[in-house]
Amino acid sequence: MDRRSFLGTGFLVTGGVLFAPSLLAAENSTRLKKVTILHTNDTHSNIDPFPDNHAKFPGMGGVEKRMMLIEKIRSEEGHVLLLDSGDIFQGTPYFNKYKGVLEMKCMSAMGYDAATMGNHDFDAGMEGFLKATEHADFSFLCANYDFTDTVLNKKTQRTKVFKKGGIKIGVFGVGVELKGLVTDTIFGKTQYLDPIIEANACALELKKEGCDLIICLSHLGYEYGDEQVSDKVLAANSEHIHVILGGHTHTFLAEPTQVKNRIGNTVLINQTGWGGVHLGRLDFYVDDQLLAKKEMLVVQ
Amino acid sequence: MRFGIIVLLLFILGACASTDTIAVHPEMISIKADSIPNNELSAIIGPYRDSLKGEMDRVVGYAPLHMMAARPSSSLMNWVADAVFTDQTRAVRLSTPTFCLLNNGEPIANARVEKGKLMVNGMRDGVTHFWVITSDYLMNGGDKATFFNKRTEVNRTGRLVRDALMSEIERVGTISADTTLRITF
Ligand SMILES: [Zn+2]
Repeated sequence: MDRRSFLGTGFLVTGGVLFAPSLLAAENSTRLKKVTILHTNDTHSNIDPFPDNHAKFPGMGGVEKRMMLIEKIRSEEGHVLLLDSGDIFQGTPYFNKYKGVLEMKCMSAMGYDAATMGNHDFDAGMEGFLKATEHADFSFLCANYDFTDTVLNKKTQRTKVFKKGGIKIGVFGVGVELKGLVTDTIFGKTQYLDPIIEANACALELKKEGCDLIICLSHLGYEYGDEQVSDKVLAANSEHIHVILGGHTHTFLAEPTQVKNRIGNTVLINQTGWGGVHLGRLDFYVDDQLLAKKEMLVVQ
Repeated sequence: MRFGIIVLLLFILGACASTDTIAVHPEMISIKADSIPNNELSAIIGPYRDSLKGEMDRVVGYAPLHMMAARPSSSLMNWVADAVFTDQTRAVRLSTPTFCLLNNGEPIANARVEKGKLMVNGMRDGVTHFWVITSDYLMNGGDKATFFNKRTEVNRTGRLVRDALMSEIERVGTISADTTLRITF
Protein backbone atom coordinates (compact mmCIF):
# COMPACT_ATOMS: atom_id res chain seq x y z
CA MET A 1 0.00 0.00 0.00
CA ASP A 2 1.14 3.53 -0.74
CA ARG A 3 2.50 4.85 2.52
CA ARG A 4 1.46 8.38 1.69
CA SER A 5 -2.17 7.50 1.10
CA PHE A 6 -2.34 5.82 4.47
CA LEU A 7 -0.72 8.72 6.25
CA GLY A 8 -2.73 11.43 4.52
CA THR A 9 -4.77 13.86 6.59
CA GLY A 10 -8.15 12.92 8.00
CA PHE A 11 -7.80 9.39 6.88
CA LEU A 12 -10.50 6.84 7.37
CA VAL A 13 -11.03 3.59 5.55
CA THR A 14 -13.21 0.57 6.02
CA GLY A 15 -11.06 -2.20 7.33
CA GLY A 16 -12.82 -4.96 5.49
CA VAL A 17 -12.11 -3.39 2.14
CA LEU A 18 -8.72 -1.78 2.21
CA PHE A 19 -7.05 -1.91 5.47
CA ALA A 20 -7.71 -5.11 7.33
CA PRO A 21 -4.52 -7.11 6.58
CA SER A 22 -2.09 -4.52 7.93
CA LEU A 23 -4.44 -3.79 10.83
CA LEU A 24 -4.62 -7.38 11.89
CA ALA A 25 -0.85 -7.55 11.83
CA ALA A 26 -0.65 -4.43 13.96
CA GLU A 27 -3.47 -5.29 16.35
CA ASN A 28 -1.18 -6.83 18.96
CA SER A 29 1.12 -3.84 18.97
CA THR A 30 0.67 -1.84 22.15
CA ARG A 31 0.48 1.52 20.41
CA LEU A 32 -2.70 0.64 18.53
CA LYS A 33 -5.80 1.69 20.43
CA LYS A 34 -9.17 0.13 19.79
CA VAL A 35 -12.77 0.97 20.64
CA THR A 36 -15.86 -1.00 19.62
CA ILE A 37 -18.94 1.04 18.74
CA LEU A 38 -22.25 -0.83 18.86
CA HIS A 39 -25.38 0.86 17.58
CA THR A 40 -29.10 0.53 16.90
CA ASN A 41 -31.83 2.77 15.43
CA ASP A 42 -35.61 2.73 15.09
CA THR A 43 -36.07 -0.10 17.57
CA HIS A 44 -39.71 1.07 17.86
CA SER A 45 -40.69 -0.52 21.17
CA ASN A 46 -39.80 -4.02 19.95
CA ILE A 47 -39.22 -5.49 23.38
CA ASP A 48 -40.13 -9.02 22.28
CA PRO A 49 -38.64 -10.82 19.26
CA PHE A 50 -40.69 -10.80 16.05
CA PRO A 51 -43.07 -13.78 15.93
CA ASP A 52 -41.77 -17.02 14.46
CA ASN A 53 -44.20 -16.70 11.54
CA HIS A 54 -43.13 -13.14 10.67
CA ALA A 55 -42.59 -12.84 6.91
CA LYS A 56 -39.39 -10.82 7.09
CA PHE A 57 -37.82 -11.28 10.52
CA PRO A 58 -39.05 -14.63 11.91
CA GLY A 59 -38.00 -14.95 15.54
CA MET A 60 -35.46 -12.13 15.19
CA GLY A 61 -34.70 -9.23 17.51
CA GLY A 62 -35.96 -8.76 21.05
CA VAL A 63 -34.11 -6.93 23.79
CA GLU A 64 -33.12 -10.04 25.74
CA LYS A 65 -31.31 -11.44 22.70
CA ARG A 66 -29.79 -8.04 22.00
CA MET A 67 -28.47 -7.86 25.54
CA MET A 68 -27.01 -11.36 25.29
CA LEU A 69 -25.10 -10.31 22.17
CA ILE A 70 -23.92 -7.04 23.71
CA GLU A 71 -22.74 -8.84 26.86
CA LYS A 72 -20.81 -11.34 24.75
CA ILE A 73 -19.05 -8.54 22.84
CA ARG A 74 -18.32 -6.69 26.11
CA SER A 75 -16.71 -9.85 27.51
CA GLU A 76 -14.45 -10.08 24.45
CA GLU A 77 -13.61 -6.39 24.02
CA GLY A 78 -12.27 -4.07 26.65
CA HIS A 79 -13.80 -0.87 25.38
CA VAL A 80 -17.34 -0.72 24.07
CA LEU A 81 -19.65 2.23 23.43
CA LEU A 82 -23.36 1.52 22.87
CA LEU A 83 -25.41 4.13 20.98
CA ASP A 84 -28.90 4.59 19.52
CA SER A 85 -30.12 6.92 16.77
CA GLY A 86 -33.73 7.45 17.85
CA ASP A 87 -37.30 6.23 17.36
CA ILE A 88 -37.05 4.13 20.47
CA PHE A 89 -40.79 4.63 20.95
CA GLN A 90 -43.92 3.54 19.05
CA GLY A 91 -44.64 0.32 17.25
CA THR A 92 -45.90 -2.22 19.78
CA PRO A 93 -48.55 -2.21 22.55
CA TYR A 94 -45.72 -1.91 25.09
CA PHE A 95 -45.44 1.72 24.10
CA ASN A 96 -49.17 2.40 24.05
CA LYS A 97 -49.57 0.99 27.53
CA TYR A 98 -46.38 1.98 29.34
CA LYS A 99 -45.48 5.17 27.39
CA GLY A 100 -41.82 4.34 26.88
CA VAL A 101 -40.91 3.50 30.47
CA LEU A 102 -40.04 -0.12 29.69
CA GLU A 103 -37.92 0.86 26.66
CA MET A 104 -35.86 3.18 28.89
CA LYS A 105 -35.48 0.56 31.63
CA CYS A 106 -34.29 -2.00 29.09
CA MET A 107 -31.81 0.34 27.40
CA SER A 108 -30.40 1.33 30.79
CA ALA A 109 -29.98 -2.32 31.74
CA MET A 110 -28.23 -2.99 28.43
CA GLY A 111 -25.83 -0.17 29.26
CA TYR A 112 -26.58 2.30 26.50
CA ASP A 113 -24.20 5.26 26.66
CA ALA A 114 -26.16 7.80 24.60
CA ALA A 115 -29.03 8.20 22.13
CA THR A 116 -30.60 10.91 20.05
CA MET A 117 -34.33 11.64 19.71
CA GLY A 118 -36.35 10.47 16.75
CA ASN A 119 -39.68 12.01 15.71
CA HIS A 120 -41.58 9.12 17.33
CA ASP A 121 -39.85 9.79 20.64
CA PHE A 122 -42.27 12.73 20.86
CA ASP A 123 -45.28 10.38 20.61
CA ALA A 124 -45.96 10.38 24.34
CA GLY A 125 -45.65 14.17 24.28
CA MET A 126 -42.61 15.95 25.64
CA GLU A 127 -43.92 15.43 29.18
CA GLY A 128 -44.28 11.73 28.40
CA PHE A 129 -40.71 11.59 27.11
CA LEU A 130 -39.51 13.37 30.22
CA LYS A 131 -41.35 10.91 32.45
CA ALA A 132 -40.00 7.89 30.58
CA THR A 133 -36.46 9.23 30.69
CA GLU A 134 -36.60 9.31 34.49
CA HIS A 135 -35.78 5.63 33.97
CA ALA A 136 -32.88 6.30 31.58
CA ASP A 137 -29.37 6.38 32.96
CA PHE A 138 -27.86 7.46 29.66
CA SER A 139 -27.90 10.84 27.89
CA PHE A 140 -30.02 12.12 25.04
CA LEU A 141 -27.98 14.19 22.61
CA CYS A 142 -29.91 16.75 20.54
CA ALA A 143 -27.94 19.55 18.90
CA ASN A 144 -30.55 20.97 16.52
CA TYR A 145 -33.67 20.93 18.69
CA ASP A 146 -33.65 24.05 20.84
CA PHE A 147 -35.78 23.03 23.83
CA THR A 148 -35.16 26.25 25.79
CA ASP A 149 -38.84 27.22 26.05
CA THR A 150 -40.11 23.68 26.64
CA VAL A 151 -40.23 21.12 29.45
CA LEU A 152 -37.14 19.48 27.94
CA ASN A 153 -34.99 22.54 28.63
CA LYS A 154 -31.60 21.29 29.89
CA LYS A 155 -32.85 17.68 29.80
CA THR A 156 -30.84 16.88 26.70
CA GLN A 157 -27.24 17.70 25.79
CA ARG A 158 -25.60 18.88 22.58
CA THR A 159 -22.49 16.75 22.84
CA LYS A 160 -20.88 14.23 25.13
CA VAL A 161 -17.28 13.04 25.33
CA PHE A 162 -16.38 9.47 26.27
CA LYS A 163 -12.92 8.08 26.99
CA LYS A 164 -12.53 4.45 26.09
CA GLY A 165 -9.23 2.60 25.89
CA GLY A 166 -7.20 5.78 25.58
CA ILE A 167 -9.42 7.05 22.76
CA LYS A 168 -11.40 10.23 23.20
CA ILE A 169 -14.75 9.87 21.48
CA GLY A 170 -17.01 12.87 20.87
CA VAL A 171 -20.69 12.16 20.23
CA PHE A 172 -23.53 14.49 19.29
CA GLY A 173 -27.03 14.10 17.86
CA VAL A 174 -29.13 15.71 15.14
CA GLY A 175 -32.81 15.16 14.39
CA VAL A 176 -35.33 15.54 11.61
CA GLU A 177 -37.62 18.56 11.08
CA LEU A 178 -40.63 17.90 13.32
CA LYS A 179 -43.16 20.04 11.47
CA GLY A 180 -45.32 17.69 9.41
CA LEU A 181 -44.08 14.59 11.25
CA VAL A 182 -45.14 15.46 14.77
CA THR A 183 -48.32 17.34 15.68
CA ASP A 184 -47.48 21.03 16.25
CA THR A 185 -49.07 21.07 19.68
CA ILE A 186 -46.75 18.28 20.80
CA PHE A 187 -43.39 19.78 19.84
CA GLY A 188 -44.72 23.19 20.91
CA LYS A 189 -42.02 25.80 21.28
CA THR A 190 -39.17 23.54 20.16
CA GLN A 191 -37.02 25.53 17.72
CA TYR A 192 -35.66 23.52 14.80
CA LEU A 193 -32.10 24.49 13.94
CA ASP A 194 -30.23 23.75 10.72
CA PRO A 195 -28.77 20.25 11.15
CA ILE A 196 -25.74 20.87 8.93
CA ILE A 197 -24.74 24.07 10.73
CA GLU A 198 -25.24 22.54 14.18
CA ALA A 199 -23.49 19.28 13.25
CA ASN A 200 -20.44 21.10 11.93
CA ALA A 201 -20.37 23.33 15.02
CA CYS A 202 -20.54 20.30 17.34
CA ALA A 203 -17.87 18.44 15.38
CA LEU A 204 -15.56 21.45 15.52
CA GLU A 205 -16.13 21.84 19.29
CA LEU A 206 -15.35 18.17 19.80
CA LYS A 207 -12.26 18.34 17.63
CA LYS A 208 -11.03 21.34 19.64
CA GLU A 209 -11.64 19.32 22.80
CA GLY A 210 -9.19 16.81 21.41
CA CYS A 211 -11.53 14.02 20.37
CA ASP A 212 -9.89 11.31 18.28
CA LEU A 213 -13.17 10.02 16.92
CA ILE A 214 -16.27 12.14 16.24
CA ILE A 215 -19.62 10.38 15.93
CA CYS A 216 -22.91 11.93 14.82
CA LEU A 217 -26.11 10.20 15.93
CA SER A 218 -28.62 11.17 13.28
CA HIS A 219 -32.35 10.79 12.88
CA LEU A 220 -32.31 12.74 9.59
CA GLY A 221 -32.76 9.75 7.30
CA TYR A 222 -30.32 8.08 4.90
CA GLU A 223 -31.14 9.77 1.59
CA TYR A 224 -33.99 11.51 -0.25
CA GLY A 225 -34.72 12.24 -3.87
CA ASP A 226 -35.06 15.95 -3.12
CA GLU A 227 -33.13 18.66 -1.29
CA GLN A 228 -34.19 17.50 2.20
CA VAL A 229 -31.16 17.13 4.45
CA SER A 230 -30.19 13.47 4.81
CA ASP A 231 -27.17 11.67 6.23
CA LYS A 232 -25.63 11.65 2.75
CA VAL A 233 -26.16 15.40 2.36
CA LEU A 234 -24.84 16.06 5.87
CA ALA A 235 -21.77 13.88 5.26
CA ALA A 236 -20.92 15.68 2.01
CA ASN A 237 -21.27 19.07 3.73
CA SER A 238 -19.40 18.18 6.91
CA GLU A 239 -15.81 18.68 7.97
CA HIS A 240 -14.80 16.85 11.13
CA ILE A 241 -17.36 14.07 11.48
CA HIS A 242 -15.89 10.59 11.09
CA VAL A 243 -19.08 8.54 11.35
CA ILE A 244 -22.80 9.16 11.03
CA LEU A 245 -24.93 6.51 12.74
CA GLY A 246 -28.30 7.09 11.13
CA GLY A 247 -31.97 6.29 11.51
CA HIS A 248 -35.49 7.37 10.50
CA THR A 249 -35.60 5.83 6.99
CA HIS A 250 -35.27 2.28 8.42
CA THR A 251 -32.44 1.69 5.94
CA PHE A 252 -30.51 -1.54 6.27
CA LEU A 253 -26.89 -1.17 5.19
CA ALA A 254 -24.98 -4.43 4.93
CA GLU A 255 -21.83 -2.32 5.15
CA PRO A 256 -21.25 1.37 5.85
CA THR A 257 -21.54 3.89 3.01
CA GLN A 258 -18.47 6.04 2.35
CA VAL A 259 -19.02 9.67 1.42
CA LYS A 260 -16.35 12.32 0.78
CA ASN A 261 -16.82 15.38 2.98
CA ARG A 262 -16.21 18.96 1.85
CA ILE A 263 -12.48 18.73 2.51
CA GLY A 264 -12.12 15.42 0.70
CA ASN A 265 -12.02 13.05 3.69
CA THR A 266 -14.13 9.96 4.00
CA VAL A 267 -17.17 9.91 6.29
CA LEU A 268 -18.86 6.63 7.10
CA ILE A 269 -22.66 6.31 7.27
CA ASN A 270 -24.24 3.28 8.89
CA GLN A 271 -27.86 2.30 9.63
CA THR A 272 -29.23 -0.99 10.95
CA GLY A 273 -32.76 -1.18 9.49
CA TRP A 274 -35.37 -1.17 12.25
CA GLY A 275 -37.09 -3.15 15.01
CA GLY A 276 -33.91 -4.16 16.83
CA VAL A 277 -33.27 -6.94 14.33
CA HIS A 278 -29.64 -6.00 13.74
CA LEU A 279 -26.83 -4.60 15.81
CA GLY A 280 -24.25 -2.47 14.02
CA ARG A 281 -20.66 -2.94 15.07
CA LEU A 282 -17.72 -0.74 14.13
CA ASP A 283 -14.29 -1.51 15.56
CA PHE A 284 -12.16 1.61 15.39
CA TYR A 285 -8.39 1.61 15.57
CA VAL A 286 -6.49 4.77 16.38
CA ASP A 287 -2.73 4.98 16.19
CA ASP A 288 -1.14 8.20 17.38
CA GLN A 289 2.36 7.04 16.49
CA LEU A 290 1.28 7.17 12.89
CA LEU A 291 0.06 10.70 13.35
CA ALA A 292 3.46 11.73 14.66
CA LYS A 293 5.03 10.18 11.58
CA LYS A 294 2.52 11.96 9.41
CA GLU A 295 3.47 15.30 10.93
CA MET A 296 7.10 14.52 10.20
CA LEU A 297 6.16 13.61 6.68
CA VAL A 298 4.47 16.93 6.11
CA VAL A 299 7.71 18.84 6.45
CA GLN A 300 9.84 16.49 4.40
CA MET B 1 16.06 18.08 9.78
CA ARG B 2 15.90 20.89 12.30
CA PHE B 3 12.61 21.96 10.78
CA GLY B 4 11.26 18.47 11.33
CA ILE B 5 12.13 18.53 15.00
CA ILE B 6 10.31 21.80 15.53
CA VAL B 7 7.16 20.36 14.08
CA LEU B 8 7.38 17.29 16.26
CA LEU B 9 7.71 19.44 19.39
CA LEU B 10 4.67 21.41 18.37
CA PHE B 11 2.79 18.17 18.13
CA ILE B 12 3.82 17.10 21.62
CA LEU B 13 2.88 20.48 23.08
CA GLY B 14 -0.44 20.34 21.40
CA ALA B 15 -1.12 16.88 22.77
CA CYS B 16 -4.83 17.51 22.85
CA ALA B 17 -4.88 17.83 19.07
CA SER B 18 -7.02 15.10 17.59
CA THR B 19 -5.58 12.02 16.01
CA ASP B 20 -6.42 11.85 12.36
CA THR B 21 -5.41 8.33 11.54
CA ILE B 22 -8.34 6.05 12.12
CA ALA B 23 -9.21 2.71 10.63
CA VAL B 24 -12.39 0.78 11.07
CA HIS B 25 -13.60 -2.77 10.75
CA PRO B 26 -17.38 -2.88 10.24
CA GLU B 27 -19.79 -5.70 10.89
CA MET B 28 -23.60 -5.90 10.76
CA ILE B 29 -24.83 -8.56 13.18
CA SER B 30 -28.25 -10.23 12.95
CA ILE B 31 -29.94 -10.65 16.31
CA LYS B 32 -31.08 -14.22 16.23
CA ALA B 33 -31.18 -16.96 18.84
CA ASP B 34 -33.06 -20.23 19.06
CA SER B 35 -34.43 -19.43 22.47
CA ILE B 36 -34.99 -16.26 24.42
CA PRO B 37 -32.15 -16.00 26.91
CA ASN B 38 -32.91 -15.45 30.53
CA ASN B 39 -30.97 -12.42 31.70
CA GLU B 40 -31.32 -9.26 33.76
CA LEU B 41 -33.87 -7.97 31.28
CA SER B 42 -36.23 -10.92 31.68
CA ALA B 43 -36.89 -9.91 35.29
CA ILE B 44 -37.47 -6.29 34.29
CA ILE B 45 -39.82 -7.13 31.41
CA GLY B 46 -41.72 -9.97 33.11
CA PRO B 47 -44.40 -7.99 34.98
CA TYR B 48 -44.98 -5.64 32.01
CA ARG B 49 -45.22 -8.58 29.61
CA ASP B 50 -47.71 -10.45 31.80
CA SER B 51 -49.94 -7.46 32.42
CA LEU B 52 -49.98 -6.59 28.72
CA LYS B 53 -50.80 -10.17 27.78
CA GLY B 54 -53.79 -10.12 30.10
CA GLU B 55 -55.07 -7.04 28.34
CA MET B 56 -54.25 -7.99 24.76
CA ASP B 57 -55.38 -11.60 24.77
CA ARG B 58 -59.10 -10.96 24.99
CA VAL B 59 -61.97 -10.93 22.52
CA VAL B 60 -63.10 -7.37 21.82
CA GLY B 61 -65.64 -8.23 19.12
CA TYR B 62 -66.38 -10.37 16.09
CA ALA B 63 -65.94 -10.10 12.33
CA PRO B 64 -68.46 -11.96 10.13
CA LEU B 65 -65.69 -13.07 7.78
CA HIS B 66 -61.93 -12.89 7.34
CA MET B 67 -61.38 -9.25 6.39
CA MET B 68 -58.31 -8.03 4.60
CA ALA B 69 -56.95 -4.83 3.09
CA ALA B 70 -56.94 -4.72 -0.72
CA ARG B 71 -56.89 -2.05 -3.41
CA PRO B 72 -58.88 -0.20 -4.54
CA SER B 73 -61.51 -1.24 -2.00
CA SER B 74 -62.12 -4.02 0.49
CA SER B 75 -64.39 -4.92 3.40
CA LEU B 76 -61.65 -4.13 5.92
CA MET B 77 -60.90 -0.73 4.43
CA ASN B 78 -64.60 0.11 4.19
CA TRP B 79 -65.08 -0.86 7.82
CA VAL B 80 -62.07 1.17 9.03
CA ALA B 81 -63.35 4.29 7.27
CA ASP B 82 -66.92 3.68 8.48
CA ALA B 83 -65.77 3.11 12.05
CA VAL B 84 -63.69 6.29 12.20
CA PHE B 85 -66.50 8.24 10.51
CA THR B 86 -69.10 6.92 12.96
CA ASP B 87 -66.88 7.42 15.98
CA GLN B 88 -66.25 11.04 15.07
CA THR B 89 -69.73 12.02 13.83
CA ARG B 90 -71.19 10.55 17.02
CA ALA B 91 -68.86 12.86 18.94
CA VAL B 92 -69.47 16.02 16.88
CA ARG B 93 -72.62 16.78 14.87
CA LEU B 94 -71.67 18.63 11.72
CA SER B 95 -74.21 20.34 9.43
CA THR B 96 -71.73 20.63 6.56
CA PRO B 97 -71.31 17.52 4.34
CA THR B 98 -68.66 15.30 5.89
CA PHE B 99 -66.77 12.25 4.76
CA CYS B 100 -63.88 10.19 6.03
CA LEU B 101 -60.63 9.54 4.16
CA LEU B 102 -57.75 7.52 5.57
CA ASN B 103 -54.46 6.20 4.23
CA ASN B 104 -53.38 2.65 3.37
CA GLY B 105 -55.27 2.29 0.10
CA GLU B 106 -57.62 5.27 0.49
CA PRO B 107 -60.53 3.90 2.51
CA ILE B 108 -63.47 6.33 2.38
CA ALA B 109 -66.79 6.56 4.17
CA ASN B 110 -69.96 8.57 3.49
CA ALA B 111 -68.70 9.28 -0.02
CA ARG B 112 -67.88 7.51 -3.28
CA VAL B 113 -65.40 8.12 -6.03
CA GLU B 114 -67.10 7.42 -9.37
CA LYS B 115 -64.90 7.49 -12.44
CA GLY B 116 -62.40 9.52 -10.45
CA LYS B 117 -65.00 12.09 -9.27
CA LEU B 118 -65.59 12.55 -5.54
CA MET B 119 -69.27 12.44 -4.49
CA VAL B 120 -69.83 13.35 -0.85
CA ASN B 121 -73.19 12.38 0.64
CA GLY B 122 -75.29 15.45 1.41
CA MET B 123 -73.40 17.64 -1.05
CA ARG B 124 -75.88 19.99 -2.75
CA ASP B 125 -75.95 23.19 -4.80
CA GLY B 126 -74.64 26.23 -2.98
CA VAL B 127 -72.43 24.22 -0.58
CA THR B 128 -68.81 25.23 -1.12
CA HIS B 129 -67.06 23.43 1.73
CA PHE B 130 -67.05 20.01 3.32
CA TRP B 131 -65.37 18.46 6.33
CA VAL B 132 -62.94 15.57 5.95
CA ILE B 133 -62.35 13.27 8.90
CA THR B 134 -58.80 12.06 8.43
CA SER B 135 -55.51 11.33 10.18
CA ASP B 136 -52.87 13.89 11.09
CA TYR B 137 -50.55 11.91 8.84
CA LEU B 138 -52.62 12.65 5.72
CA MET B 139 -53.54 16.17 6.81
CA ASN B 140 -49.83 16.96 7.06
CA GLY B 141 -49.31 15.85 3.45
CA GLY B 142 -48.36 12.21 4.08
CA ASP B 143 -49.01 9.77 1.20
CA LYS B 144 -48.78 12.79 -1.15
CA ALA B 145 -52.15 14.10 0.12
CA THR B 146 -51.17 17.61 -0.98
CA PHE B 147 -54.84 18.60 -1.51
CA PHE B 148 -55.06 19.14 2.25
CA ASN B 149 -52.93 22.25 1.70
CA LYS B 150 -56.18 23.83 0.43
CA ARG B 151 -57.89 23.39 3.80
CA THR B 152 -59.57 26.42 5.32
CA GLU B 153 -60.01 25.13 8.86
CA VAL B 154 -58.60 22.35 11.02
CA ASN B 155 -60.18 20.85 14.11
CA ARG B 156 -57.77 18.55 15.96
CA THR B 157 -59.62 15.84 17.82
CA GLY B 158 -56.66 14.35 19.67
CA ARG B 159 -58.33 10.95 19.21
CA LEU B 160 -56.17 8.05 18.04
CA VAL B 161 -57.46 6.06 15.05
CA ARG B 162 -56.67 2.93 17.04
CA ASP B 163 -58.91 4.06 19.90
CA ALA B 164 -61.73 4.94 17.51
CA LEU B 165 -61.55 1.45 15.96
CA MET B 166 -61.44 -0.29 19.33
CA SER B 167 -64.40 1.63 20.70
CA GLU B 168 -66.46 0.98 17.56
CA ILE B 169 -65.80 -2.78 17.75
CA GLU B 170 -66.74 -2.82 21.41
CA ARG B 171 -69.84 -0.73 20.74
CA VAL B 172 -71.26 -2.89 17.93
CA GLY B 173 -69.98 -6.33 18.98
CA THR B 174 -69.97 -7.81 15.50
CA ILE B 175 -68.59 -5.51 12.86
CA SER B 176 -70.00 -5.16 9.34
CA ALA B 177 -68.28 -6.48 6.25
CA ASP B 178 -69.33 -4.21 3.40
CA THR B 179 -67.58 -5.27 0.21
CA THR B 180 -69.01 -2.43 -1.96
CA LEU B 181 -66.49 -0.97 -4.36
CA ARG B 182 -66.50 2.66 -3.23
CA ILE B 183 -63.79 3.90 -5.56
CA THR B 184 -63.84 3.51 -9.34
CA PHE B 185 -61.76 5.30 -11.97
ZN1 LIG C 1 -38.63 5.06 12.72
